[in-house]
Amino acid sequence: MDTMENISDLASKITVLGIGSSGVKIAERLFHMPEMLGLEIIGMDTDANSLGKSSLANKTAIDSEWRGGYGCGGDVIKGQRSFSRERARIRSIIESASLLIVTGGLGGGTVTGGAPIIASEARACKKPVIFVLSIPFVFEGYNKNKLAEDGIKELLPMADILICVPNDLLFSSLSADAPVEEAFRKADEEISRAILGISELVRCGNLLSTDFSDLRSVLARRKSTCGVGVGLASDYDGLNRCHMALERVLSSPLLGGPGKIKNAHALFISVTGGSDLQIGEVKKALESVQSLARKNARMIIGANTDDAYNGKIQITLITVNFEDVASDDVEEFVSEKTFVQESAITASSSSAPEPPLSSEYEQQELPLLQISRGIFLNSSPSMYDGLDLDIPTFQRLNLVVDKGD
Amino acid sequence: MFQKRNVITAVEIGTTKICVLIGESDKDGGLTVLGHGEAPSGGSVVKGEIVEMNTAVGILSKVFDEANKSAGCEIDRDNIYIAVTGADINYYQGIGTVIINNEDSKVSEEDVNQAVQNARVKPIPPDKMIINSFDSYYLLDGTRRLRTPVDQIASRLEACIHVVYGDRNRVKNFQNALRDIGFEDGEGHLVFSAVASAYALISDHEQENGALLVEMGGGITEYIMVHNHGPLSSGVIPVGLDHLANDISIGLDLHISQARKMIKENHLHDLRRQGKSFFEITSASSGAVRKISLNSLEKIIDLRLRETFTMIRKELKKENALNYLSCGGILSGGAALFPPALEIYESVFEFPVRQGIPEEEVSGALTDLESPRYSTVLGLLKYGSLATYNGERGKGSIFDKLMRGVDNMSSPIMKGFSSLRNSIKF
Repeated sequence: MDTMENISDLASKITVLGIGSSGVKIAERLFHMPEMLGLEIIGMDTDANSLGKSSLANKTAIDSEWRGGYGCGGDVIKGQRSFSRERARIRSIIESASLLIVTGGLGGGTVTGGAPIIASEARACKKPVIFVLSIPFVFEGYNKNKLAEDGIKELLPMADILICVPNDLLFSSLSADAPVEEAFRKADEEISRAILGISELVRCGNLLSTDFSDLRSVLARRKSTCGVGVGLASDYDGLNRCHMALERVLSSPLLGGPGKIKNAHALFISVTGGSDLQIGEVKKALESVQSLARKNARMIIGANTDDAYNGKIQITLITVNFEDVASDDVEEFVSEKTFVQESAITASSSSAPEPPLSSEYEQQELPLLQISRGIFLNSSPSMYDGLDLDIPTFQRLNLVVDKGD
Repeated sequence: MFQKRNVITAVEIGTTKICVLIGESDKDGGLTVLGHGEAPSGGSVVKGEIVEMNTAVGILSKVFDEANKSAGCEIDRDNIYIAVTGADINYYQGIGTVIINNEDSKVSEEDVNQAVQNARVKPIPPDKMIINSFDSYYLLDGTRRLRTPVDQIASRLEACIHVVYGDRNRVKNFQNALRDIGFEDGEGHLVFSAVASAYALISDHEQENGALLVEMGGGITEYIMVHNHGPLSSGVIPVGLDHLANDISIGLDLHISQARKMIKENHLHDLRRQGKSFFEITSASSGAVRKISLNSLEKIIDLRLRETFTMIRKELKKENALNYLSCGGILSGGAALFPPALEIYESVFEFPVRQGIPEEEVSGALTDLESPRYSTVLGLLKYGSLATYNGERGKGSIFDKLMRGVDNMSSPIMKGFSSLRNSIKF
């Protein structure tokens, strides 16, 4: 009996940890949302200055003794180090939560370096962690995107769940003359909404339940990109609030348009409402999303009620695209594509096919690391599958290791 | 009849140590370790292969003397077993079919032998030689999978055998080392070291239900997967703890001896337990103290070991053997004393993994042998005692005749083969 109580007690505490400047901003936004009641929100940054401006109640400048409160300046090693020094604090946060959601923007030093450390610490504590990280805009430069890409590569085997949301998806619904500030604000807001939606998805569903293991079984250890759409509508939006919420999901900037649903390999849908949530609404929401999706897409659905949502309905939709698609999925894709192409050809048969973007202008990646075989310099190489196993694994994967100072 | 003492000698020429054990087996199959000699290889063996013959032979002869002295009995020259390993070792699964023409459709022992012979016809390249062979399983009428098909009623019998082979010259090197210290040519029976460890470690229950043994030593990692008393997959990944030490030394700018010490003394575990996130290293040249993040060390170890275990997993997947592993895994060799290796092994395969400690009822004055480091040599003794025991008992038996008559492989291997065939208890 006692243990049962403990378990249900644990299941209810979800902590959101915003790291880096963007993570803190997202956390701050989340903090001011009325629905955040069940969540504990913590902000963490190396940059004490920007942290000071934040109105979060629970915020920590990490590693201030060493860094002196300055940020990492895009240096992954510095971020790694800072988080390593704060292991004890991170551990206490992880241990006090039943589920940790870590959010931030990849591509900077703090998040790219720090997230793997949180992941490894969580693994040591055997606590689940969901990473909801944004990938920088392409216009932010090759370097930043490369950093983000490397960060994902490193995080992927360690993290239980990694949800990557490309900021570029914002363009799909923002007009070009939208103010920059609004674009970034929108990105933060959408991610904080998404976090809310995920926490709703994971929180013990009392109607249709989905849980952490559902998320895990779909997302764990596979390289994927996700789109997130959240739509919230209340009674003030008119009688048909469910319809409104759906519409808002579909036009949600980080989802990237309804086409994304069609192409998704897996979909998470959760419907949350107050005690006045009607079965018809749930049915309609789920059915209409399903009608947009591919037939063989994997669907994980959940429905939930919470008194904080009285008079409101929130629909969260996460679309998942795997990068390494199994062969049967690929076939499906190919057949779909040819169908589309055929119709395109009949429509505009005169136009010459556009040459595909070739990688010929792409600069070859410069080998930054020197490959070394160390003590095996004088022995015959250990070849396996075309790899020289004498070369350290981290060098073959092109990962940077902090040598300390 | 004159009661002959059954003295068995086991020789392991490994990357970290060269070790000789002399044991005696009694009629009931019990083993007594009489003598033990051991010395570090001192760089003469790299990645499981002898690279400096002179040094290796020097050490080996010293170790032999040491073992001999402590044993105080004569070495039986017919019963010397050498563990062989190396990146060149591979295996093939041969399948041989026989149509049962007996009047009563019962599978006879001759049929089984014929099927095994047929399975073995697959030619191996002339520069390779067979080290050990075992029967994996038998199929009756293409559907029934059995261990002992004799006296079953069937119209077709298929034998699936597991043959371990390696580079002729590289394998011969091991025998040569023995010859150089005064033994005759051809003395010393070769046993693939993973097979030897399997004899020492895999329990009867695990053999039956399927288990994977990974033996990670200094320079090389061997694995063998046993199900229903027959091996389904085995092999070598040319990565060992030396690679890990090398990674750490390159990645963190440490001297190789410091890196080795770090693995041996398991710094990582201790520091973690103390809740530290950094460790300090004094540079040998300048005397300056450097603080290195524990995370860096963890990352290097995780990447390397995960890669190695993933390779083994891939190899097993090729053979479709992953489904037959209901008893989980065993980790032996030096890596079994390194807790992160166990953890990573467990997380890659997602099954329980235990430390392989040879807890045989090996009696004798030498009790410090109960360590994963000695599983190969102890397994060799066990293999040897089973082989001699079987050979004597089964003289003139149909298996023995088959082995001698058909194949030109040395007879003890055949005995070993037949011993596995009768699924002698480990």
